[in-house]
Amino acid sequence: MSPSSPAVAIPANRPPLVDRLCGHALAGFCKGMTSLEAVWSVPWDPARPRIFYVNHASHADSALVWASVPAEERPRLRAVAAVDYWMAGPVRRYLSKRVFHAVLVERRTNGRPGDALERMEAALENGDSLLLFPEGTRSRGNVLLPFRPGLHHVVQRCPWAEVQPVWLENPGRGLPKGTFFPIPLLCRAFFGPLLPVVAGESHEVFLERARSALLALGPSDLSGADRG
Amino acid sequence: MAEVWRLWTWVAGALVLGTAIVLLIRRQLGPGNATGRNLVDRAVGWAWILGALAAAYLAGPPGALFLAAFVVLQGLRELLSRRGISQGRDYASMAVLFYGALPLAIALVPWSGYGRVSPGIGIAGLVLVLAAWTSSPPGDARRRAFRFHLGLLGTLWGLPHLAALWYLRPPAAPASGPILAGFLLLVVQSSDVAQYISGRLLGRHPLSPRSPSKTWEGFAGGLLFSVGLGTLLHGSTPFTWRQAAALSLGAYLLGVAGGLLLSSVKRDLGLKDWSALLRGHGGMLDRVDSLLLSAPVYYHLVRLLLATTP
Repeated sequence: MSPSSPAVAIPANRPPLVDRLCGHALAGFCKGMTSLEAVWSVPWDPARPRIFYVNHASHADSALVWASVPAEERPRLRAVAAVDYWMAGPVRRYLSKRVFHAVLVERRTNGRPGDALERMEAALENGDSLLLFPEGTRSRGNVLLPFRPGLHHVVQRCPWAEVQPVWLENPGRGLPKGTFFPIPLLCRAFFGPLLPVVAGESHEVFLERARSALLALGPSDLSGADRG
Repeated sequence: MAEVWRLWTWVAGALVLGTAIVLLIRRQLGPGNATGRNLVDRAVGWAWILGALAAAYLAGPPGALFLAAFVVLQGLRELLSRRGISQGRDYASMAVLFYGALPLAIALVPWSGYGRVSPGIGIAGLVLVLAAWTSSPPGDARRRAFRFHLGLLGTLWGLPHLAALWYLRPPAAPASGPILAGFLLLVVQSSDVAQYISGRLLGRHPLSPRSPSKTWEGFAGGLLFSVGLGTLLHGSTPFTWRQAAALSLGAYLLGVAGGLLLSSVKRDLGLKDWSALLRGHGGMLDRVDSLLLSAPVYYHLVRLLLATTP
């Protein structure tokens, strides 16, 4: 069973020239520093909403996934990011709004998780794709943290969206948490097989399944506590 | 300097001839054939490499230094980026290598004392490699660590000697730096091509289980070719023909050893190519592996033979 998307794919508006130039410069810098290589097992059709969920170990992560798709498709790929980080200071505010087109959500929901979910659902229904970090925060070292339930909620609300795990190799070594100067290690983004969506699946079962699909793309010596 | 450009016309001629032969072979094999495509990729790759080298020759020693910096930087990235190299939290040691050791290794090259301190640096590096060897767990892991750190030493310390050749001023031939470097590059790199061709045509007996594509027939073909070429070239260099033959033999043997060292590191990591930098050639390390050990040894032999003081 694969219910098709209710969304009529609305073409994304072409961003203004200055923003596009900034995007090209940033993507070029990311690619130059990392010689970024994207390995797709299932190519992405930008007209079909897809939820990419990615391991998180570096501030460069969302920029790297964003840079690994062609420039004209980038406005369709919207990172779900913490509002407290991306609204601090004019540069981040500009980048998140005009270059990354981020979907900004509160980290601490104070009992109103519906708000963030509604924004993500609205983006998917608009025909955009989402880039999620289900660990919720950046990990340190060679680990994959337990997943937060957010990914499960979005998938249950929008079961027609495709779900794909993405393993980013090396940004966590080249620019780990707490460092400022990037080290130009070669980076790869592995876009794995699509995760089948099962209607009404409990969040424990779903998150476990999603997590092992992501772990399968990572290195074999990964210390993901419950790697099965 | 005229000697250098005479050599370059020969190199350019060889590239044109080689490309013509490759195009003929591809026509014979048909457009869909993988070997034919790979040969064309290799020829195009060589055109890029020779273009970069020609630019370095035109720019003189600073150009050579810039090219060496790029080669070492890319080599370091390839060596340190692959899965199985680290357990994650190694930012500090990466930072030391990329922002400390690498700039230092390049910045020392133009210094007049480079030839005198380089053996000391090499020995200190070897001591560190042995320290890493003894501190790693015994067995297979220890052998892997040894090979990897030796490759790292070759990349960081060995490769910059290529640029250092440009800065050599032997008393008998003070302007011969570029030709001394060109001699090594020609002998070692063209022997790679000769090994490939004779291996493809005659290869039956594998040279080493570590590197299935290398054969004894390829080894012999490369040896004959490089020693023959080196001896023929002696007229363009400050060497006698005996010196040229001996140097090219040594450079060839160390070139093969460097290639085997890096292919065993590659095998430890389960890689086919170090990166996808140049189609048909693979990564930077796939191209320069034969210079890792030969460059520093050749550099110091040349200093001894030509009684060079700086």
